[in-house]
Amino acid sequence: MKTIERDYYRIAQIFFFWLFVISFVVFTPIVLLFSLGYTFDYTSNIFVKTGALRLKTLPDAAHIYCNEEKLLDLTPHVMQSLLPRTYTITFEKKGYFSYRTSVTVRPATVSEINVTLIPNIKNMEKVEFPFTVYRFFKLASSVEEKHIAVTDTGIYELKKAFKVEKCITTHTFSTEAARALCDVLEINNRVVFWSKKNLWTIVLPEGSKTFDSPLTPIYTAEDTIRHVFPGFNDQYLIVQDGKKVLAIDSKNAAAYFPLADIKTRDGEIYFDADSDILYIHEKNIKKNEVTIFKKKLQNNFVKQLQALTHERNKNKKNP
Amino acid sequence: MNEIKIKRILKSVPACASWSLLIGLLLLVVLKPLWAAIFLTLYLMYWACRLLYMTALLIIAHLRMYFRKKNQWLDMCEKAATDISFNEILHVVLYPIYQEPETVIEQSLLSLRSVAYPLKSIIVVLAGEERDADTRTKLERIHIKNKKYFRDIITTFHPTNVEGEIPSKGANATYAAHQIKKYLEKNEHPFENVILSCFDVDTCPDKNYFSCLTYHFLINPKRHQTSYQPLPIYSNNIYEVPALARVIEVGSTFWQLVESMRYEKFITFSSHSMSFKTLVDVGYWPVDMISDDSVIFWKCYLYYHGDYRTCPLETPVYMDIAVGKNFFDTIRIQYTQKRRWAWGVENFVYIAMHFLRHQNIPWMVKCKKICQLLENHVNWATWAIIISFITPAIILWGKVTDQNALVLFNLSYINGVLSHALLLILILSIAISKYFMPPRPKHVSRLIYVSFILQWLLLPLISAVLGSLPALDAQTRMMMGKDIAFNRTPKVRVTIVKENKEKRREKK
Repeated sequence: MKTIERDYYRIAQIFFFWLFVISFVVFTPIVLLFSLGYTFDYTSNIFVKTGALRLKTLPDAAHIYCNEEKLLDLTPHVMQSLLPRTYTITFEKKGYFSYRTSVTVRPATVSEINVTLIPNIKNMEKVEFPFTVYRFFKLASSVEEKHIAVTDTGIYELKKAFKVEKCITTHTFSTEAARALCDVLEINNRVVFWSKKNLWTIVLPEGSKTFDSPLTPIYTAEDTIRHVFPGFNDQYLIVQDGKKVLAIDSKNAAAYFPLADIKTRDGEIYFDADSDILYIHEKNIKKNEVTIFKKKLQNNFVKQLQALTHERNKNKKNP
Repeated sequence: MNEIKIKRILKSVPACASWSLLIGLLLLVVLKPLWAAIFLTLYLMYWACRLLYMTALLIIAHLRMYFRKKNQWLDMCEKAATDISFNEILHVVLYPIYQEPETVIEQSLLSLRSVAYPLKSIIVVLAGEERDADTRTKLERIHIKNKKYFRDIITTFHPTNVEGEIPSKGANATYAAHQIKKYLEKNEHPFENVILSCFDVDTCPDKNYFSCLTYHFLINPKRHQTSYQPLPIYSNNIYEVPALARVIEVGSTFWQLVESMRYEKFITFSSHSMSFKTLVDVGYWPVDMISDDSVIFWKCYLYYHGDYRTCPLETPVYMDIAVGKNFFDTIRIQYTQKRRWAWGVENFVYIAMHFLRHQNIPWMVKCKKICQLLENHVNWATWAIIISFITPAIILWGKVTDQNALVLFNLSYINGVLSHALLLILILSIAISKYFMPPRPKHVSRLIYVSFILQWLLLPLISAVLGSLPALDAQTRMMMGKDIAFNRTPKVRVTIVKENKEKRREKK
């Protein structure tokens, strides 16, 4: 008589039960060793601790070469069971420069290489302008990216991708004068051009209108203009003219004040507009020494202003 | 140590084990994350192997049902050469009833009437509760209407507030079984030839259920030392319930299908059948316990000194999916039902207490049974929380804190492999679940099949929220000494609710 225990479904159940037990007993240690980074090294016949390498590129889908050997996978990719040593990894992608780097894989650790590939563009396109450009300047103090083009027909403001935004003025520099220009800066709604000998300003037109402001020379150097900084509430230009340091009012060329004297001809200045501190960098060539001096101009300036205001008030009371 | 203290300690064991596992793992994540990763790697490996094993069992059980469904069970019964004749077998079908609508009982009896088995060998017992106000008139109506179809219909009314009883299905069924005993004695029918089927009121047996059951009973030399468990398929109202409830109950069907293949561990659950002689010998169902369906198995197991088993039947019974008035009510009802099922953890205390006294079962067997039961309940309360929440949490922690430990990276890798394996199992489950679907009613759109596939996406969330949490809740309550009440799952079908609403509208 066939009883319920003897059917072949029960045999199948017993078979799968033992298959499950054996699978667990056999595979669990293997998986655990693999998780901890151990792998069997057939050359030395021992278990060695390995690491992993995570490879990422921007953009992805780059070919990977590990020690000159091409891998089948593209980035992003994780190389596992790597013996702890240094590997040379090269990424290659069409249209981008190849990137090669070395990485040391440590045991039981996932190391990472994350690189941005640089496009390799061979074709160049000429940017056309309706005028002849003598010089381009990037406005240092501008919040947004802004370029100034000095051209044969005037001075232009250019925006992103060198698109002409507006004509600042139709007055312009000669070819020689333009070539001699050192830099440009924006201060108090004016653009200041400076060469080694001169300083000029132009008033910036508001909105998109052309104001056609003339190029106004505001200072001629006695020696050589070496540095120009905006300062004192963006009203003054801090100028190093040879050994002299001057503050020149950008709106009123007649108002200029000596701030400091530099002892050596090689000395240079740096002006911190946020704190109104003047740094003087002096070099003693004989002794081969460098000294930096600091002059807090704001305190004196404020005291002078306060003294002036107090005197005026006194005069009003006792005319 | 006295018995009360031992019982108190035993009641705390499952909850302590589950909470220790969860809290210990969380502490390990915080204090020694690498150790936690190693533990989780082992745990995931265990579950990967176990899930594959269970899937294999699911396929085998499905094939067993599929091939044996074609059996001519009735012919096999008639031809079976055993010590009892097929004609001598009497079936008693017991329906414990409490507040269930008349329509649900009627539908169950209708399906019982259409079984491919001589109805004159079937006695129906409608076991009502006295505390249910309109039960007497309702059961009398059903009695008159259906009496002609069966050998007999017995109606019993379980009295309220009997000392030593809790309001439960077990108490009602036991009272009814006493009445059946009297009836059989009066009609001089030997108990040895009586098979009792204790059905939930929404149970609709397959047309071959009784012939299959009789065949297994006839050919089994230890027929009185065996319970007979059909596969409960929750599909009576599958086209009317939310996707969430469908996933849970299809999961329950699958779980029973898998369990039916684990012969040594297989115990009775919900609607089941057994020898009436055995039932009388062991002293009926427990009257003071919630999980009467499984405790009866352990009672028999102890009575026969461990020589007792559950025979899986190849024919199913069809039952209702627990559903509420709306989506959130369905979640509440499902949660309560699952917590009641998980209250089966009281079996651990019951058998542990009896094993301490029992001398005729070998210690090894006792330890094995106790450990199996404990492991089942601890896994039930923890696995979904660990796999759905704790493992992703530690992987996420590794990524957020930019940890470069290989073990953490590999944990994520193994988790990924396990997820893919789960997806395969899921696809297989969808294919098998199709087999259990009743025909689509005409008023239901074909688009519901899309929902039947998409519903499986809810599985990780459902398994944690309605899988592990109710079990953890039940274990914690038992540890705290807060017993749960027997919350009856409402057997209300959506169509019935709709009909009632329409009737009310018409009246207005």
